[in-house]
Amino acid sequence: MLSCRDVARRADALLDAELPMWERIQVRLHLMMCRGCAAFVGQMRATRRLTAQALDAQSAPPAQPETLGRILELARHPDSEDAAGCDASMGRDPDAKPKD
Amino acid sequence: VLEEQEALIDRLRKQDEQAFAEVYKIYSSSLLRLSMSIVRNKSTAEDLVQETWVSVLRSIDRFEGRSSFRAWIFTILVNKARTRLRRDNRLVAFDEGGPDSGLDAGFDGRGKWAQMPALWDNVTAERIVEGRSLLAHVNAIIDELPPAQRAVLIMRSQGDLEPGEICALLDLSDGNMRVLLHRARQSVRLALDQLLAEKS
Repeated sequence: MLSCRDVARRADALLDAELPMWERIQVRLHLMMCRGCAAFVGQMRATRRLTAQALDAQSAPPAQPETLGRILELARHPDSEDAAGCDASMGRDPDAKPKD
Repeated sequence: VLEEQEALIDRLRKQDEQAFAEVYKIYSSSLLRLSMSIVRNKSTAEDLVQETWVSVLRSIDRFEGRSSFRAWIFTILVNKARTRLRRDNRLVAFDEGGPDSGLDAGFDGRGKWAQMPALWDNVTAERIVEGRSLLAHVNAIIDELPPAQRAVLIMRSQGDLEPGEICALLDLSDGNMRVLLHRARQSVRLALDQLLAEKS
């Protein structure tokens, strides 16, 4: 039987859907019987949601035209000094990821 | 939303400057925050964000949509930041986690809650507390996190990256990444709990 401390330690993995099945069942059973842990997991769920919303909500102010213009100019001229630095730091193909 | 993003990326491929202004507005704030978390210097962080945008514009034809667009630009930025730190001999282990979350102190000797957690009612993004929205409070709390915690939290919350990809990018073990994420989330939860308790 899991203690409340055990459940709290597993809350992240539960909400990230990363708990093995047997542990998930044990945690769910505990949550059905324990108001304290149910409240804690509720707090964690709200924290995750608000964190994602807060990060999404923070958009940058519109860029100055000269800032955008400088970036566009560098992107169009691969021989420029700054641009060479950009390419040198492209250590790996960022799109070459085992996804999809 | 996905279709809108695909349309935006198509316009970027066609070198539509207005499309670039739009993606810049959407992603630059997150990029700068992540960059600051890694290089810990505002001027360098801003340079890296600019370099990232240059690379994004040059490489956009190679973006095949196998990852999300945000994950793709986050990956470009982190690779650039680590290259810059290595070049400047400033690359250090990215695993200092800050203080322990303190979660264990909330339990008695038998592992039961010493004090029951509060039920959070009406905890919505729109709720105003102390004159500003909860989202503004959360953003302020995130900015106060130790840099490594902040970087992992941003990448896990926003980057659409798999845990293994984040570990590889930041050169972290899976265990360290989970500790950093746990501590970051607990810090945000505790700060919100205190804020909400003061107002109830």
